[in-house]
Amino acid sequence: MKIINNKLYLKIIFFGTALAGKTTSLKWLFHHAIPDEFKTVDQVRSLETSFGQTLFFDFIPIQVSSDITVRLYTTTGQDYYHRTRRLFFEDVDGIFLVIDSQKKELAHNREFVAELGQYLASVEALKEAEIVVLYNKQDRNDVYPSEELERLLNLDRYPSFPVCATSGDNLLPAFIMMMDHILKKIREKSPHAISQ
Amino acid sequence: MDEIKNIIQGIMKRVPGIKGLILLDIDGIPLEIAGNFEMRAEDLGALLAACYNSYAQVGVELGQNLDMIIVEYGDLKLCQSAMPRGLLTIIATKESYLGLIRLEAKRAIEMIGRLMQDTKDLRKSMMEQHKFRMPGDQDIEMILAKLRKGLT
Repeated sequence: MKIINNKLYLKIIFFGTALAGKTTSLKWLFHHAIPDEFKTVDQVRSLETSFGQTLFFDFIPIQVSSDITVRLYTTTGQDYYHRTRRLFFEDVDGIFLVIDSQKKELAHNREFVAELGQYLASVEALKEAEIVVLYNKQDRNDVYPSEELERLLNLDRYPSFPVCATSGDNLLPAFIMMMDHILKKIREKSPHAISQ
Repeated sequence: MDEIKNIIQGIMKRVPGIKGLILLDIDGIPLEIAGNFEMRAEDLGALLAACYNSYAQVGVELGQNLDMIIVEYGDLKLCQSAMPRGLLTIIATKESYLGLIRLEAKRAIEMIGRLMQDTKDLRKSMMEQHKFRMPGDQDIEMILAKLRKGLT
């Protein structure tokens, strides 16, 4: 959370393996779920490689009220860009951990869960961040059910949703839960908050 | 923040060929802007912060601190300097004197860096005095209700 020029800025990131569906999730939310009155841009801003994968990040700012802006980012999932990822974990309020549910991706998922654990241990502000797990690609064949992945990846301490980023199944409920948790946490921490 | 605005306006007046100047929080959130940019300030800020942070990371790998980035485009020059928790970017025409831009940037980040530390304290004090309004229950419910409409 940041307060700049009398406005509150919140930061939510999508984190997960390459091709897990981070950008697809962000784009689905932007195009199908986020109310038009919240949008301040007409498209998701992306820095992509020549072959269409996220280079640094995808980014959208949404203005949920006159004085609250939520900045949504995806981080790059490619291993060779991992050094750029840590930058995005500074001042983060919420993390969507996007898990590719395909069985063949289990080892990669484990690496990313471990990487997130390192950030949680080393970035002080992250200790306060809300984490919601999205078990993506549940519509495909040869996937682990979300309950099994939760056990295999030891993620049962976080709220989670089985999702399909291409159809948007469960993405909006996950986003609403994230916003609900973040905003209420801010409310609780702010004894001087006053309602209009 | 008026003092920061004055510093930025001063540079705009002094540097021949200057096109614009943007002061960002380290995350890319625009704090002050002078000049006209076709791109939305939020987007430009996010890109500039990502570029700076990437070069800073290269510096870490090389065991070096990053002081300044100079970029030369076809018709423009861009100079980016960091201060604690902030980034200052000056954009000028290619005819502008790079030495003058560097000097102005160096002076400005010293002054702004000090002021930003002050404004941090000021923000804290404003919150304590109820002058900054954090979201209340009613605000939060209104935001969530708008999002929930998408569920139906």
